[in-house]
Amino acid sequence: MNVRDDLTEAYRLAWEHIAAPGSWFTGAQRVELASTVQLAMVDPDPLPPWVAVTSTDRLPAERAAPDAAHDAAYRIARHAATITDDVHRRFADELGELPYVELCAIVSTVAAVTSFHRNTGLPVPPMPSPIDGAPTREQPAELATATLNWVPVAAPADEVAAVVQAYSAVPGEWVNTWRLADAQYMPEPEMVHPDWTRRPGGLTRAQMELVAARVALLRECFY
Amino acid sequence: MLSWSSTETDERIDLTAVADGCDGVGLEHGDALLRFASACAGDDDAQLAAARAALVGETDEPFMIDAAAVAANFEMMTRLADGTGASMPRDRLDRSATEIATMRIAGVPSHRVGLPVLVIDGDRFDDLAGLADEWSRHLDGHRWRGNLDAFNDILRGGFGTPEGGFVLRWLSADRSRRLLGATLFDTIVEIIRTHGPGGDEAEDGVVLDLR
Repeated sequence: MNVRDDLTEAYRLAWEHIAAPGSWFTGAQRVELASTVQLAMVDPDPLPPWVAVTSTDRLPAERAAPDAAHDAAYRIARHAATITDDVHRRFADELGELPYVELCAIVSTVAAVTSFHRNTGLPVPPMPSPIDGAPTREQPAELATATLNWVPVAAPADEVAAVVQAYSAVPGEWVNTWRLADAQYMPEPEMVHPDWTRRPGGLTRAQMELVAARVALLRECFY
Repeated sequence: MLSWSSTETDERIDLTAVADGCDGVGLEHGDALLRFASACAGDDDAQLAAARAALVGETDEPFMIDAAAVAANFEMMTRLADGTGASMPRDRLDRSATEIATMRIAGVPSHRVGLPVLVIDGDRFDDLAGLADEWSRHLDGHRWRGNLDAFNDILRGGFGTPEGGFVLRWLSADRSRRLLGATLFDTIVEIIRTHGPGGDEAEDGVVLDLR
């Protein structure tokens, strides 16, 4: 199967990104959390939303990342639509607001890579080997409280769409996410063009939005 | 975005077909795309393989790959949006009221706007009779005595629960499941879900929030 070069490269960089130290988690913790995300996505007997995965025997006994991070990773990966502000606050209180944002980005990145390969029938690439190093602690010069998101964002808040600013408090995750979106969906500047298509004979904009709407509906994602 | 893009390009889309996942969407290759997108978001690998093959047969492999990538993108974006509590500005919601109603998505938990919340506190009862008392607090001049058929009727409305849907927030749900027994608890949950997103009577707008 001939996958577009830009897609192949975006997924390769996404896996490399997962393996590297983030702002708040080490590479080893990130890869471990990515494995929990994959477990949640393909779990043949998924846990209900209210059961913490760390209260079961489904994860390795020795874990580098905090239990709350694994519990949040499983729940967001499998039951994202059940996350309420109370649930977010409970996890963020344990992990910290910015580590919580990084965790969401690990989940959404792994969801993208895993889904694409399953959707096309290609094997999901094996988990990358963690890259040594301490978390970078990178964050924007100024954070702001958003009205369009629960999580803090890079100041100024609410000047772009909620999904665009969602990861802005963890810059590395923001870059990785929008690199993936450019390749999977469309480059951001093209969003305003209803007749944009990637190539002659490719999906029209309406066909793309049909796929997007159906997936979001089945995931019970209002946004 | 679906409604906007199709309107701008003069393509007629049946949003009800999109919501129901049935044929008659109205776009070129729309039905094959819809079946493929549904299978991408499902758990059935055989169904996905069949939908993928059908789409390739109707279009070509690069087209299917592009569709698979868009589906993957929205597996990413739904986690992003729901993990970070992303919401839309009020004016945009108001402009999209027709589409929201047609797609029957007002009641999904991630709407995060405005549905009244009725609470069942699992710490306040130990058995079905206690659950009946707890639930009856929300009924106006009526009392539920624990009959499951009656419970099903009540969720259709007209017994004092909010018109237009509500969130049924069940606190200490794991305790209730333990004390009521998994079979009874799961049956009650199944009844409630019939009246919410994805259920046969989704128009009742009952959103179950188990905690």
